[in-house]
Amino acid sequence: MSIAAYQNPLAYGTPALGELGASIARNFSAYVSPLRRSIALGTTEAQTQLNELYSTANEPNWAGHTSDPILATTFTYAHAFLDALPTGTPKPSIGAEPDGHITFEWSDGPYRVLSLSMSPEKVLHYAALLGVSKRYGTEPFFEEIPPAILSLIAEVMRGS
Amino acid sequence: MDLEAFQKTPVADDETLARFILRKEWLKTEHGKIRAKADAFIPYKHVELSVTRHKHLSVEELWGLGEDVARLRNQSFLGRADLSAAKVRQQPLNIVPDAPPRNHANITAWPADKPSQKIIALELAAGSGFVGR
Repeated sequence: MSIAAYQNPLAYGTPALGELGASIARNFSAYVSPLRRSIALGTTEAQTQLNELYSTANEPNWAGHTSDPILATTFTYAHAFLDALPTGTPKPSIGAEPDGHITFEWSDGPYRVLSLSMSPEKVLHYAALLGVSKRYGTEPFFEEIPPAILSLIAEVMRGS
Repeated sequence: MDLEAFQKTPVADDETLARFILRKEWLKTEHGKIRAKADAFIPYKHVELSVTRHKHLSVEELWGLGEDVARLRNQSFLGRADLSAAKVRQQPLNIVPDAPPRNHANITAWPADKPSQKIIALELAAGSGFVGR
């Protein structure tokens, strides 16, 4: 299932549909939000895992000496990231790095994998192995999943 | 072989290195197999990654060193991710003997920026095999 283009189809105005279009647009979020939180779609499970991770990793040295805690801001941004994932996105594996960044990983084998790190600065550092090719870089997070990240998720998981 | 002298000998390409796994978040199950994630291979805080050389250690001695690390860090010891020194050197990294503790080494020369560290960590994770404790 393609996830790259799943957006509110009426987000850019409904001049041709008038009142009906406006009503649909108003109700879109109310309709989609429960779906996004559906246990069957995995978002709630991922959010629960995120909560569990934070509860064990919000103190210094959570992974032994020299590891930094996950900050409350990072935790909040990570939740916002999960909320922003389009309906139908495969559930990521949730983790954390010793610098306190929260990670989201999608994979379909050791050499088809995308790992994202959410930083306290609300920046997503990413790296992906796509067979023999690789991509890595940084994208800002402005409450919507960057298109480059959506594209990588789709590419990594296309065989699944 | 003089074990004390071995601690300072350069790490050969055919040596196996162990990255001890102390957090369940650093593991994933994929196609029925447990694997270490890239998270376990991110260097921090000194931009170097701690590993243990298998050479001249019995299996029990190797496990014992892992348990020592876990005890020191007040963590659970879940197992180890094994990878060859040759795999590490396919990346622009060095492996520097750094005992004590016994057979300890550091993987050094990591790039400073996070995405570059992550792509290397992904490749190391992909080339590793997890052995559960």
